[in-house]
Amino acid sequence: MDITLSSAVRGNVLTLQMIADQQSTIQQRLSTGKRVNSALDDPRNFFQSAALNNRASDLSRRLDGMGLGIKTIEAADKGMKGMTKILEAMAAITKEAADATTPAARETLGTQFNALRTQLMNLAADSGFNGINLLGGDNLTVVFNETGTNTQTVNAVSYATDAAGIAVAVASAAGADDNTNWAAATATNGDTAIAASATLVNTAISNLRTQAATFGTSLTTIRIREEFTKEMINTLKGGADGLVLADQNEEAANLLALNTRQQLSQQALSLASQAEQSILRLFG
Amino acid sequence: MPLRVELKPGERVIIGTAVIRNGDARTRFFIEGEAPILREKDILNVDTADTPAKRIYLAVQLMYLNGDLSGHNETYFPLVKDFLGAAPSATPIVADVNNHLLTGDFYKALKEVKKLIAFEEEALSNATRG
Repeated sequence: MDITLSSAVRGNVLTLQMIADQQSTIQQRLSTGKRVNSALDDPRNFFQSAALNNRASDLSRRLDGMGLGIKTIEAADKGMKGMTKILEAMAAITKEAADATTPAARETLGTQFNALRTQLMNLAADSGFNGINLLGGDNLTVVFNETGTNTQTVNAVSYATDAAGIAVAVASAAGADDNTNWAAATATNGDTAIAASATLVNTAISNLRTQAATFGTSLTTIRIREEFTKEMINTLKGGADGLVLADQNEEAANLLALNTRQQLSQQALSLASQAEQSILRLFG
Repeated sequence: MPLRVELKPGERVIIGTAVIRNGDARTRFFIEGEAPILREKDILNVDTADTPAKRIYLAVQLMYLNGDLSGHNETYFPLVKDFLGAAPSATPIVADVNNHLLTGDFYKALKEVKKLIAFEEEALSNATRG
């Protein structure tokens, strides 16, 4: 049997259907917190917002890379701190050896010196993070922007094979008599050998300090970029969410209100004091 | 390639950490090397930066003159966040500014902020008309 609807009833049904549609839209907006949910609602804002969210997630990946880079440099730095301690102990041994009077005592100290030297290289070999060891000859490249065109390379050093310039173990076998042997039979020959080792150790310590400063500069640069990128991602995400709510008239009113608020704000004050400290003070 | 600068009588320009003021005649000179360069017409100071977008310009200008991203994060990002809170549709412009800053291209960032000033002008002129 056919059911015939009068035009009034059909009108009501249509209205009900529309209300149901609207309700589901409202519910979706409520559940996602966004006014525009699909390309059909407002195509321009939708696609812009999606693009911004994509950029944010691209940047998040870069941020991970920067985090790993920072950890890698920190691992190298920690390694170098340990190496400096070992080198200081080696310097103490050279002093002790210089004061020692018998070849036998010097031989023992020479063996200790060599043992520390091996530890020094082992420490350097173990100072990597995530497969990259800046003390073991692996350069580190950190990418800053989404497209990968802006990078910074941190050049590695090879302390794992050449312990900060102390490549050769010292000879300290008692008996032989030449000026490269700590335990040389002639005391002055031994003195010369020990003094040479002491010089090497001092050079190594100062090399390490220079290198630590170089890594430190890279670390600062990457940290600043990391912080900046974090803020950038927040801005992109916030903007993308706001974009789907964007309304031109509202924005204009907001900007006017913001201007009034900013005139008295802390930011305006700190901006003013920064300008006052810069070359801009000459443009009063 | 050196940068050619031409100054009108009495016009000023910032080159590096110095302000150069032209004498009585028109001057033309060339600059080689890397230093922040700002012409008088591109310079905003605390008094002339009197809108939210112009304050962002001033913040970026300070970063450009110092060649340093770190010092001004505490002013730049709060200003940007305020701006986007008020006008989220400016986000694509701000995203470009941020990209230039991140890659250390302060001058391009500064140029990009000019678009933000234009955006703001348009929005406000609509508001006063409507």
